[in-house]
Amino acid sequence: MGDADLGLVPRAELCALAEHLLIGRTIEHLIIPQRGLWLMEMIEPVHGDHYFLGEVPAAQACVEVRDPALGAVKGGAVLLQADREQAVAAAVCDAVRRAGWPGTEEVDALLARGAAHRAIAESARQAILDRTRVDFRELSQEGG
Amino acid sequence: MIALDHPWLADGQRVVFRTVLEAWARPGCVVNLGPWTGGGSPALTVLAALCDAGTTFCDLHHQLSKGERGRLGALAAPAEEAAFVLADASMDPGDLTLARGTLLAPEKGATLVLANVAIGNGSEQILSGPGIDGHVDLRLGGIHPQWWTARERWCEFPLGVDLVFCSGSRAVCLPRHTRIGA
Repeated sequence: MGDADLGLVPRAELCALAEHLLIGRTIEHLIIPQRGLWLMEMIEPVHGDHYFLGEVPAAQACVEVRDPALGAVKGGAVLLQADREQAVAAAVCDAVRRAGWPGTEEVDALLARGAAHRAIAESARQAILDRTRVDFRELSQEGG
Repeated sequence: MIALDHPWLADGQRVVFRTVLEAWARPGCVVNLGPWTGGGSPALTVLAALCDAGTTFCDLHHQLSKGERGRLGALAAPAEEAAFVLADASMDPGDLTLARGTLLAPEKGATLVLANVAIGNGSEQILSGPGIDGHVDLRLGGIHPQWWTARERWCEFPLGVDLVFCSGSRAVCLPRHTRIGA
């Protein structure tokens, strides 16, 4: 599931949806929700060497949601924001969506909005990258 | 609800950690953990303040739920290797073996949290040693007598096991160097 996409929607909307999904249901934290800085490990593309780019803010949560009629299901989320409550809300959405319980459609709609945000950001980033592209063949022809 | 309650809140855990540290510095001194238990057991409150993913834990008599063990974050380990052990004081420890540390690393001795102790009731124990001005009279009930025998077997300073007795909302600590008896 796209944790990253849920992290891109407004925090208030994500938390409100999680609260709505928990009406009549209970939640148990399987681990203490954590927030902090994670070391981001990257792989250098030429030699394949591993290196640490730096630290990124992150939060994670793992929950079990119980529905009196439908049973129990586990969900989890890791977000690149140091916000425990947001991670818990995303984990609740993950659990409901995994189980296909009522509320899955709302989670899917929120995911789609997050994916749209991501597509716009990636498109803008790609446009910046495209401007840096150099065609060495053309340079060579001009020189000749 | 999404929000966590005590004893899982970092602010409360910091206070409990400091309180337990104070109790260890003053053996026999009864401390109140009530505001930070969240209505749960003081043993769990103490463990929540002391354990994390870098520690090992053994729930000897299966007193915690699966969720509580998960939230502690500590790695499961057998009793003889665990840094923190939770046990029911009313149960016979038998020939239980716990980590006593080594002469080069005495800090690796286990911390044993005994739950369901009646602090203020039961037989009187006279405590003396570091951290105690003269002696302290402490009444502890509900403890199987074999725990005292086991403590004598484990503790040979600087090696040994540190004990935390928990009852209601209170706790009292008995470090390995504390002497029991006149």
